[in-house]
Amino acid sequence: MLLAHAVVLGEARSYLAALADHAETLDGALEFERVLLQLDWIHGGAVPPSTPVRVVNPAMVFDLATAAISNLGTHGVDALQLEICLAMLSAARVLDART
Amino acid sequence: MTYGENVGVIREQLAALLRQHRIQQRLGGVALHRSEPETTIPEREAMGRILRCYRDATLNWCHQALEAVGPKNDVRKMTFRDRTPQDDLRHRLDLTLQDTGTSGLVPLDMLAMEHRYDLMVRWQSIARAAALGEHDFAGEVNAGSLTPAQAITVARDAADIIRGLAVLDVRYKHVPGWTPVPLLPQLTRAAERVSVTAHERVLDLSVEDLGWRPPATGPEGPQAAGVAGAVQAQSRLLVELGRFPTALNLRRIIHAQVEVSLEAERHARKTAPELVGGFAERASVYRQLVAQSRNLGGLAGAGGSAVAESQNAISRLKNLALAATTQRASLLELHRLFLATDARVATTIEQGLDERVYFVAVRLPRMTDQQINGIYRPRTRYAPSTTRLQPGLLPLVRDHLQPAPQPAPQRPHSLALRHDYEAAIAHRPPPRNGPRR
Repeated sequence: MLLAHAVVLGEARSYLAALADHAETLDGALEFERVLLQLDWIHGGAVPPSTPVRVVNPAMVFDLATAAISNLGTHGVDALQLEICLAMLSAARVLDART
Repeated sequence: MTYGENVGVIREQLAALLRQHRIQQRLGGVALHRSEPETTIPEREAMGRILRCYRDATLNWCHQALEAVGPKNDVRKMTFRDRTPQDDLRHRLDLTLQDTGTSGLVPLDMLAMEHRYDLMVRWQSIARAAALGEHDFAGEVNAGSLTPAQAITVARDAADIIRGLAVLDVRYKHVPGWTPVPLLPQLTRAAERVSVTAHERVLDLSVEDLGWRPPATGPEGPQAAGVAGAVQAQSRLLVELGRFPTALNLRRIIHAQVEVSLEAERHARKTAPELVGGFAERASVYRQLVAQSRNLGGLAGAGGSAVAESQNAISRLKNLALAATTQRASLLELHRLFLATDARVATTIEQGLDERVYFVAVRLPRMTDQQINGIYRPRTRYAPSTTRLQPGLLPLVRDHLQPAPQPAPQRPHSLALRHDYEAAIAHRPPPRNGPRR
């Protein structure tokens, strides 16, 4: 894994962890964690660590996470897998907002 | 059967044999209460040969025990001064077994045949226990799995059994078909040296709970209806956790346990309300564990099947409508399986961190050399975990997942058997003409 790829992946993981920690409901938090696990599974478990992110605006963090996951496509990650991740992320947000 | 059960049978039967004298009478020979012998000399000779096979099988068990728990060194190349008492006993027993000229293995028909006399039956029980006990040394009773105190206990058991066989060998020397144990005086002295040396240390009788066990398998058959289906999946998960999972699979299993606890709580509200609090607390603990294990890394291991079974448990509970009282027994069983799963997960995490299979990401106190988007970032790398580096994970596991330590059982029956055996070795028959004046 090249450094630039690791940086983007680390950002995505950090934003997903922040969304999970600041979710409104437990079900929403679990769904955000599931997206994080899916991203780690795509990379075979060899992932850079996440860093704590201060959340002021969850919607902005959500957009940053979406952008980071999309950017992984430029580093050779399978596009279908990334679309699945993005779909799971959207579903998690909907579930968190609904409940 | 465990090691304790097998060696207990050998000790018990040997103690009974050590209290028996006038061996030929016990094989149907001439006796004061019988005018005619019940068996002929050829018949007693055949019985003597069978007894010799049983004795050799017991010596073979002692040899396997000493081989299993002793260091893997060639005692033949060591001088007497270099050998420990245990090495010396192993060496003497090697020479003895070579001189007997037998393999020490009893034919299956001898283990299964019926005997007329109590003495023969007792010897057969000893040979059966010795044959069964061979599997223990391939299981958990070997040097790689035992503590030093447990290994000394097994060596002491072998030495005591050899001492008992030495006493019987002298008593049986006139039995037709019986051949004496070769090099008996040297073997006896070596066994006594081990017994005396081991007697001075504290024996660890917890080795009696170990032994060979068949590999665990989960419940077979089609998916059961209701919560029982989730119980099936959780049982299989517990079996699959016997294999070490990768860090990613462990995180997935931990994530699944949150959901299965929440679903179990939902079902328990009507049918088993006393379990609701426990399930909710379990979900909370595993939720914290999910957050603490995000930066856990490690590629060694498996665990795919365990992840699949954990997802099965969730889906079977989610697809189930809330029912009435029929699910209570299954929920109680699920609670019991949850406790076992928690203990297994705790052991896996502790062992993984201790043996450096799992790593955590740590932030180093310096920056990288390269700019990324104009920013120097702090360096991080994966390192073996210590409490200082990962302050939240291990305390969470130890405080909430590990079961409370149980006090060691006392084992009075085992100690009584050992004292009785020592008394039997030292036993002397009463004089024929009454006590001396």
